[in-house]
Order: sequence, then structure tokens, then C-alpha cells
Amino acid sequence: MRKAALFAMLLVALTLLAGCSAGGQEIESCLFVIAMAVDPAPDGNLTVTVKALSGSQSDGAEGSSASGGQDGGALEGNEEGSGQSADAEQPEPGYIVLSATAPSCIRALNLLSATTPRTLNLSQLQEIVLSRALAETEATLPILQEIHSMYRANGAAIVVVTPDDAGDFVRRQHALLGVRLSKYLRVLFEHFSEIDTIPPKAELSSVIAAMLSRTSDAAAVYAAGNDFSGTLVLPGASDIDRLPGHLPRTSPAQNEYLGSAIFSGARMTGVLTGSETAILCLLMGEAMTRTSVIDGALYKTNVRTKVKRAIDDDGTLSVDIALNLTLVAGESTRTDADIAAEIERSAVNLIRKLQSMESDALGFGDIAIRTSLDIPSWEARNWPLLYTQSPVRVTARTRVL
Amino acid sequence: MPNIRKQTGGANPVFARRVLASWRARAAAAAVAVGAQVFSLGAGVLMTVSLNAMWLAALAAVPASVLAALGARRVLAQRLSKGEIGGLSRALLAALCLTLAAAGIFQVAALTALSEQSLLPQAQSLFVALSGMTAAALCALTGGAGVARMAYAVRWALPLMLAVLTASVLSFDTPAGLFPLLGTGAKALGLSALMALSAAAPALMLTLPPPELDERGQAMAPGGWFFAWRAGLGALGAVLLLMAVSLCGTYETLSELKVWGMRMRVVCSGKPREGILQTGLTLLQLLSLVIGASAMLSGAEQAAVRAFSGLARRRLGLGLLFLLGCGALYALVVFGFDIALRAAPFLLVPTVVLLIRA
Repeated sequence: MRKAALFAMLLVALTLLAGCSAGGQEIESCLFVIAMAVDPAPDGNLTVTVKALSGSQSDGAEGSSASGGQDGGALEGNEEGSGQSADAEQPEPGYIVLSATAPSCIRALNLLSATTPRTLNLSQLQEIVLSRALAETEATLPILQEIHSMYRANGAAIVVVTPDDAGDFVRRQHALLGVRLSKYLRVLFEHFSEIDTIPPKAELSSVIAAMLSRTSDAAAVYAAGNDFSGTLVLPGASDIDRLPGHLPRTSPAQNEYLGSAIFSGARMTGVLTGSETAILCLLMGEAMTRTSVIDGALYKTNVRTKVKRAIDDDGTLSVDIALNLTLVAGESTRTDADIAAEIERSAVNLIRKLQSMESDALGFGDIAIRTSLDIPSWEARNWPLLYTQSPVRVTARTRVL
Repeated sequence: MPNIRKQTGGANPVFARRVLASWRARAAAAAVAVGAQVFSLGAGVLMTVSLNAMWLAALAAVPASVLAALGARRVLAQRLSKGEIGGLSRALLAALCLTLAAAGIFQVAALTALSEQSLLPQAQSLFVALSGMTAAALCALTGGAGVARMAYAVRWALPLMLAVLTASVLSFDTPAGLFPLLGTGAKALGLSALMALSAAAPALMLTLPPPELDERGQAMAPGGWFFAWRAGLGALGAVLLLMAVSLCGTYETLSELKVWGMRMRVVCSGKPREGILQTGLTLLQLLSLVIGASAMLSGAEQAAVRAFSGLARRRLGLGLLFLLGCGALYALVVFGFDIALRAAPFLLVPTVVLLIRA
């Protein structure tokens, strides 16, 4: 026992040596990137925009851009960046925004590295924003892989897709509450995960793994900026059965994170609203603190929801949900059976919508692959086609306490 | 040859217990070396052939290690009963020396590949490789008794902490990485299993007694199963670690890992890379490789001294092996680690020849 304790102490002490390794860098010599955006640019180029910690509290958000283009490299300084509105350039102490344009993401990052008097460090990255136009192409996966492997980006960074200009989205991103953008973003994503308005497993490493996999597909966070000029009020719909960008609200924070960007392989094929994303979380077994509003009554799940996904012998995609709800506020006007039927209907609609998007974001392929003995026989089954044609059955059992 | 385990209650029980302790340390070092070899070979070679089914192929190394340990004990019995060189000819001793040295160099190469993909991303490969070789040589300088005792001291703590840290890194949401069970197919799995047999080569070090006993001409050793189950457990631990690597990603993810060092890392795709637990796991893997490489090098040096009387002075044998290792590692760094990966399965040939001929 004593030897084991000594060994454990030695191990902990050894981990300290990792900080003294040849790969160690001084904090002052690094440019810590907090948020990154990738947009398509003319002539097949990509524009990479990064928001990084400047270390100075007096400076505002100084925009600068470098252009490599197809010809390989002119550097230019630009206080306003390219194409963003004046609103997007609100001064923000402690952070700077830089951008570069090049034929590939890695070349744009190299250009930024070469023109910045600091080493670009993505270990503190909190979000990667892709423009929707780019996400709908096959280029998404190579871009994310380059960022992850070549620049050793933080694998826990959240992947976000926006229909807006991704660079402008990052420029608008301020620490509304608190002072550190990194902490603000981390808390923001944790909060939205808890209330199930963004998809689970939207981290960079998870998204890359799902894109590479032929047994499941990725879901990223969907987000957009709201200029509060033309808010949409959808009568009859639930509060979060909407897409971001036009929510009926006002706030100093323009960026809205609500819903999912659904991928089929490496290509984005559709979006889910906030409500659909909540059902997605439920079906994935990730809805731990789910709160539902049904006919004005507020319900909360009091224990972890039990979800069992299976593929029946006849090929039916089957989901069995067992849910215990506690009435938190309001008056219940529905029976348990009514609520269960509502959940079943929403879940079936969601799975059919995913099938129409050719996306197995729920991971039924992970179950289907178990019946194949080897990889050639699995690939010969043509699961993507089978999946889109499979019938769906959802059984929900709810109990209101 | 008398079984030392039956002598501990005899006329000189203290001496007998010390002799048994030396054998225990030797067996523990062999177990760690076998485990390190199975893991390195599994991630380096077997994964490229059978992808997620590499752990299944590596299972073949478990009975192979047990058989190799039993065979080595049989050779040891002959050797101890026949004097200085005993049942092994000089040629076989030279072959044993080269086999153990090659296994040791392979493990230092694995250590280098893992280091540069984990804790030392910006360090030069040659620097890491030569540092690893120097560390192994320094450990072997005292004849390997020190590293064997260290292996004995951590015989439970090392696998236990490896298991705990691996479990903390894994995500048990879905065991998708284990399927399809046969990986790229039965044929490839069979080929991988055949190559996995070569991972039993480090068990050959058990043909030589611990150096401290060798010098005294001690002619007692425990029975064959004393070594066999330890070697088997070492191999089984490595198989479980390979299984964890499979669990961490689907076969598509594994096929994207082009670099040996990346394939050795137990990194769950859904979790971030950084963290003290991940670092601790990598450190334990590196520690196992260092122990394995040092034990191999000291065993090779012991065989070299027996084979060539001109190397009777121990430092000369070790020095030559150190130079050989440095040269081989330099070549690997310059020409790529793929050479080591292609050559490693051929360790099966001298292993089988030595066990049959001896």
C-alpha cells in the first residue's frame, strides 16, 4: 500500500515535468485564440478570422487583415476588417480580431502566424464558427481536421454554423456578462446544453469523429445574429420552436444560439429548431434536466430519462422512452397518455426529418454495425440508403409525479 | 534442476528467499517487457492490418507469451545444469542477444513515437530517441537488477493505475469502436494474429538467470508456470489497453491515424486531449516502455557476454549494444519508423528457432 502511494505521488510529480518539456512556451509569446471563424472568399479562397486575447485592457477590437489569395501573399492592414458593419466593430478591451485569406485554412493560419509577432495558439479555443455556405460543401471536414491536428486546437471547442458572415459573427461576440470571453462562452454553451437548445456532442473532436464515421452523423450548434429590426412572432408555436436570427427579443448580445446544424457525412444538409433540438437531446439520452412547457404547465424531468434505441428484425428504427415528469408550475390539463403521445409524435417527426436530410445524427448505424462481422460486409449493406428508407417506431411512457 | 520455491524452508531459508525474490523481479521485468511489446506492436502494426480488431489479433500473443516463457524455462534448466554456456551454443546465444536487442530498440522507437505525439510535440525525434536509449542503457548498467526490482515494485500499481486512468479517458456511451468484430476480415485478422505471436520475443530473456545469481553460479530456479502466468498477464494487460484504443473510435477514425505515436494514444474522440489524467496515462505507458527496453537491453548484454568471451568485461558488451541501438535509432529517425514496424513481426523467426533448437 505504501509503495502504491509512493508510486502515485511519483506519477503526479512526473506530470509537472511535462510543463518543462521542449514544447513549452512562454505565455507572453503566445497569441491565445478564443474564437475562430471560417468564410468562403472569392476564387475558391477561405477567409479565417480569429478573436484573440491581446493582453492589453486599453486597446479596442482592432481589426486587421492579411490577404494571401491565389497569388500567395500581400499583407495589408485594415482597421475595419473587410465587409463588416460599424456595429460589429464595437471596441472591446483585451481582445483583437485578425483575419487572413488564402486558398486553404492551414495557409490562412500560417499567414496569420507569419504576420503576427506571437505564436498562434489554439489550445484555449472555445468556438469555431463556419458560415453555412461553407458548411454545405464537402470542405468542412478537411478544414476542421486541419485546425484540430495541425494547430492542435482544443478538442472541446464548440462547432457553430451560422447563415451570416462567420467573421462578423465572431466580431460581434462579446463577453456580455463577466470580463473574460473564454469563460463567458464556456458558461454560455454549458447553459444552453443544460436546457437542451443546442445539440449534444458538438465539440470539435466529436464532430470530426462523427463526420469520419459511417455509422453516425454530426450535429453542430446553429446560431445567427439578430438586428432586432424585424422580429418574427410565430403564433401557435412553442417558445423555442424557432431558428436563431429573428427571435422576438432585444439584448446587448446580438448573437443567438438556438437549434442544430445537421450534417450528412461532411456536408451540412439541414437545420433543426430549438424544440426539435430538445427532442434530439431526449432521443440521444442526453436530456438530463429537461424542462417542458405543455399547455401552459411547466414540467421537469426528475430523474435521468431512459432511452433505448434499437433496430427491429424487420429493419424498423425503434426508440423506447421512459420519462418521469414533475409538475413545477401551472396546472396540468393533459393526462400521462396525452403527453406520451405528444412526445411520440414529435420524435417520429424528428427522425423522419433526419431521414429526409440523410443524416443519422441519432447513431442508429452504431447499432446496425453490430450485426456485421467485418468491414467489407458492413460497407456492402449500404447503410445510408437503408437508413433513409427504414420505417420508424417510437414508444414513450411518461409518468407525471 | 531443483525448484527454488520448494527450498525456501530448507537449511538456509533467508538465502533461498532472496534468490526467489531475484527470480520474481526478473519475471516482473519480463512481464512488463512483453506487455510493452504487445502494445507497441498492436498499435504499430496490427492496427494497420485489422483496424479495430487489433486487440482480437493481439490475443494470440497471450498464449504465445505463456509458451515462450515455458520454453525459456526449459532452456534455462538445461543451461544451468550444463555449466557456463550450457545447452545454448554461441550462435544461439548471439541470436538471443540480437533478438533481445532488436526488441529493446523497437520499444525505444515506440517510446519516441509516443512522446512526440503527446508530451513533447516540438522536440526533435533524434533527441528523444537517444535520450530513451541512454536511459535504457543507464538502467542496464547495473546488470538490470535495478530495473527488474522497479518492475517488481510496481507490478500491481502499474496495471491498476493504467486501468483506472484508461477508464477515466474512455466514453462508454456506445461500444461502436468494437464493431465489426472481425475488423477488415478474417484473413487479415489471421495475418495479424500471426504477427502478434512475435510479441512474445521479450519472454526469451527468461532463458537467462538474473545477473546477480548468474555471477554466483546459482543453479536453482522456480518452475515454468512461475514465469508463464506472469508473462501471460503482461500480454493480457496490453491487449486490454489495445481494446481501449479500439473503443475510443470507430474503424474510420482509426484508419485516419497515420502516425504510430497517434495510434498508441488512448484518446476518446468525444473528449478533449488535455488534462492531467491523459498526461498520467501517457506517462505510465512511457514508463512501461522504458522498463521494457531496459530489461531487453540488459538481457541482450548478458547474452552477449556469454556468447563472446572477449566481451567478458561487462561494460564493453553494453557499450557495443548501446552503439548498435543508437545507430539503429538514428537510421529509424532518418528513414522513418516504418522500417521498424515492418521488421518487428520478423522477431517471430528467431524466437521460434531459439525455442525449438534449444
